[in-house]
Amino acid sequence: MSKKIFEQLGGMVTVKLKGKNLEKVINMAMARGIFLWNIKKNDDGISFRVRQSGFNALQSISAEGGFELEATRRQGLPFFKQVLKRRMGFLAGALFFVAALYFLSSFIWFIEVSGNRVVGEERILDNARRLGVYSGVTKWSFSAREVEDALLRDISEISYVRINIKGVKARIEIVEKVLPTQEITGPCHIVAVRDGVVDDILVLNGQAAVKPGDVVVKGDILISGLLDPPSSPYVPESEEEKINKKASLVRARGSVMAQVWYEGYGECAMMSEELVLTGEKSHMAYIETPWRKLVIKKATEFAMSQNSTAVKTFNTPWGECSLVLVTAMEQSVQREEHSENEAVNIARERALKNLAELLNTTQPFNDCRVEVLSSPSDPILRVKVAVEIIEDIGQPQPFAPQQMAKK
Amino acid sequence: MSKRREAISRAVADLLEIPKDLALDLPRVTLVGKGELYIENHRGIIEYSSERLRINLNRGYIEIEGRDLEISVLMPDELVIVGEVRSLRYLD
Repeated sequence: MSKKIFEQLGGMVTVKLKGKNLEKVINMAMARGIFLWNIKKNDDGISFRVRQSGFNALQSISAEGGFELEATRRQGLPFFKQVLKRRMGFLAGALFFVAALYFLSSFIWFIEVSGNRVVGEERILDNARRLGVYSGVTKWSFSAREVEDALLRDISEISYVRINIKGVKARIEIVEKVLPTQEITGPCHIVAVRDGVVDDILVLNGQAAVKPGDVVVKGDILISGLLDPPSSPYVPESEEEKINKKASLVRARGSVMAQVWYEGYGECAMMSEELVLTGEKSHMAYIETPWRKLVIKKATEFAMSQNSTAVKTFNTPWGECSLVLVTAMEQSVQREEHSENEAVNIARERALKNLAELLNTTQPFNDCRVEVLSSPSDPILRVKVAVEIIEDIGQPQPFAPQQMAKK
Repeated sequence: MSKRREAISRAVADLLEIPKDLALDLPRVTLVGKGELYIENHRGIIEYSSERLRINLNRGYIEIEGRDLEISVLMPDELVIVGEVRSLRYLD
């Protein structure tokens, strides 16, 4: 194997030798250290192979002895060099290609961020850009380790970052910190988050500050975290005040269900235009190739239609081809005139629907008040709907014990 | 003179257990099947045709007869012959 490689690198010549006493040439070549191989007898002489370096010496030997020497075949790199010299353009093109490939592959063209959930991709990319990693930067202009360290320092929400450079793509892998939820451990009250009428109160810890039927506004204490010490039955009431009683501080827990009101808005045009499907359908099918669109079946044109498209894509060696089926369903305009009652009902339904979306509930509202906002001459009827629902309005709010003590 | 020297060399080689091809410059001939023949310590080619090959040795020569004989490698003291070898003779 290695012999063959050296033969190709050094170049070899297949030679045909004619004359009498050819053994003499072989012996002389051997004596001068010219390496010969594949010596074969032909009809009118012998043929063998010799290295390019020994060919000239062989020529002089055969000239001295009056032999006829003919090179029948030349193989190897030295001869290929001559071919290349004639085709400089080809060589230059090949070299340019390699150089361009190397040059273009020494840039980062794509940046990918993975593993982030809370921290936005834009923020990471912005930070990376500031640290010198952006699309179009050369690979050697930044140190991945330094950028990793700086990213860790700059974005406090991440605990691990690794920059993987593969080819022209930089992949920023991130592991975010998992922060513990903010659990209130100190003393706290349960306060109202919105106005309402207390319906039911369940105290698990603390002291109830309201009772069912009370009207509360946002911020009122519902369950207090200040616990009065129980009065002892053995101490007379008159004496009790003299004893320095100290309220204990607890983390109030419990649920306070209250009636609260929400308002929703809805409207309905007195005369509405609606697009309805007539039931007429027409199908169209075509094949989309990278070059052109081949229509298989044409569709009948509708004035107004709703289209649904189904695409099936195939990967072929010539590119992406897809079969597209378009179904057009005819539509027509239906005008509808509503009476005031109908319009109010429609607007109310819409308002309730909006409200349900806002409150993110699916259960129907059983009680609601409707207020018409628009005047009878308006083309659009607007309504405001108020609903009453019962929900937990309590929210823990910590307090500092010193402040309470001062009070 | 040379015969005496040869006898001494042989005796020394026997005594010291040195291979004879090294001590006495004798040819080492290896025949693989009938298709490949290696000869070391040769002294050139006397005659070459595809049926008959005579190879010079330090003393005498080897005559190889066969068919389609080729010298596949030829180096100053080693050569390889391929082809069908029918007979191998030492001649003085």
